[in-house]
Amino acid sequence: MNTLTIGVFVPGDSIIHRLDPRTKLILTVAYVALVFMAKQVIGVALAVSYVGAALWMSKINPRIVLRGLRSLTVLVVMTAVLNLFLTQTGTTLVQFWKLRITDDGIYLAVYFALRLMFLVSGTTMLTLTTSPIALTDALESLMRPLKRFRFPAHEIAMMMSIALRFIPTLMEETDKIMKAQASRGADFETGSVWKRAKALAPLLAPLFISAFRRAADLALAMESRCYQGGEGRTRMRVLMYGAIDFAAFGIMAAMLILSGIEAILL
Amino acid sequence: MIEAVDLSHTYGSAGLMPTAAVTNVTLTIPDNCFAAIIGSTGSGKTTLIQHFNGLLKPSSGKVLIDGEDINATKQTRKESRRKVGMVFQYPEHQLFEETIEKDVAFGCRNLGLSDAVCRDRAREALGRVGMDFDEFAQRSPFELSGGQMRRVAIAGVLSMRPSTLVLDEPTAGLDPRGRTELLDLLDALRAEGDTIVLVSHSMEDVAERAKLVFVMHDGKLAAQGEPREIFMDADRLRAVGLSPPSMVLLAEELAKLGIVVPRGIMEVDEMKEAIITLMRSEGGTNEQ
Repeated sequence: MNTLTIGVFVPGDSIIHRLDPRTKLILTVAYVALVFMAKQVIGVALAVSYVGAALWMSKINPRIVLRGLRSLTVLVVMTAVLNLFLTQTGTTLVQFWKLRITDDGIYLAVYFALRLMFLVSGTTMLTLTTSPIALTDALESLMRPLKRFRFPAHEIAMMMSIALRFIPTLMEETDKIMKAQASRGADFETGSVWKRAKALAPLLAPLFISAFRRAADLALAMESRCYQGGEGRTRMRVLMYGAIDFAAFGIMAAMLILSGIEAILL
Repeated sequence: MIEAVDLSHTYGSAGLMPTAAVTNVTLTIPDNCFAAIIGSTGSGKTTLIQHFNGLLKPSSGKVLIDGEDINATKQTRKESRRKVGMVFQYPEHQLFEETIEKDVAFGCRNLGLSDAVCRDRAREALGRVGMDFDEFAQRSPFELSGGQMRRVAIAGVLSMRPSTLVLDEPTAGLDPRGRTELLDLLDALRAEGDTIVLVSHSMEDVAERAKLVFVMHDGKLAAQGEPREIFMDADRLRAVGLSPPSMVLLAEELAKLGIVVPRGIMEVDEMKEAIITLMRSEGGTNEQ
């Protein structure tokens, strides 16, 4: 639980934190496109500068991002190794028995490993600097045009923010019930699969009961405050694009164009 | 006897917001004692007691039960769960079985004892919390009232026959009668030879019942001693974010009016007698 940094929000007051969450969401989507377009030096340099600049301006401890990357080690190494040995095109550099390592293989191994790491580090910048509530507000705002096609944008955003809000609560609750049952001699860690599955009942039953109780309580609390969906609802914090947002969009557009030119030229 | 030796516990890991919840706590809870651990929210009480039956492993330091390190092996840790019964805050949330009998016997069954023995123990445990076995055994725990559910949950811990019972805020959310009944139950258990460790921020509960008080503040043990000693020092209590029990506050208010009652009175009846004695003697002086 402690090593999970993907999806963690680190509160702060940096320029990146103050960007409109919609800007950050759009920028992240654009960044993902940038990483997928990147084939050569310029693309990689752009991705490096995006992550580097975001990290520097957000004043977040780089170790948190590195820790997030570390949890990906297995995936990255697997991708690299598979690419290294399964790529058969290009000139052979080393060959022993039936395994062949080619220059194309090395290129692809490095390329895919880097791409994975850039994808994760860039997208964690979004969650590190944006609170879950701001993120769902942004999603709702961006999905609003879809309402014309009867897409329930507000309801989905509301469900998302409730779900996000209750993750820590339920984790705490799970921890507490596990400890309470362990105190009564329950054993969640040893025994056959069947025995362990059965051992989950004393954990899951109270957890579900409590989740339903919380859902009922929350529904009652919302109704007693006259909640009736998104219709005519005003917000306490109205999302507004400011100068820094337009600056960020401008820089991202320039990066995309640059990367596009590189892709076309090569 | 439970001992904590230089016990520290840190949540989280380096780099990502590590928080020291308990720092260098050394304390001894003697056998057959009614001890209480008090402290404001976030003072480390709950973290501390979760070390007493090996639910948490100390970051440094040791926990000894009857002189044995409970974290020595898996076996000793398991053994500590049998010796030290833990009743969490709102224990009624841990009920899960179809019938009250099965739920109460859960801990007993986990000890590997036979159904017949567990049935006897469930009967005994329910009796001790004041619930009739024949009336309740086959009913669902979820049909009960909140107070009854809590008593069933406590019976579920008692069925393992622990020699020490640790309770985290057991009176939270109970009505005055339920509270008195629960504290009476703890007194009765102690009289039968059990050790009771009560975690509470209700100073009244502690002042009335405990014989030994540990004050936690900011993860450290700020003070320990008899309740009278601890509670008489109202300023120190305020310094650690606690409000003194009502009788101490009353004595303070009276002192402001120039009426000085003897220090260290914790119970309403005692205070009543003291005030009556004081008024009688004053009345006497007025007449002369």
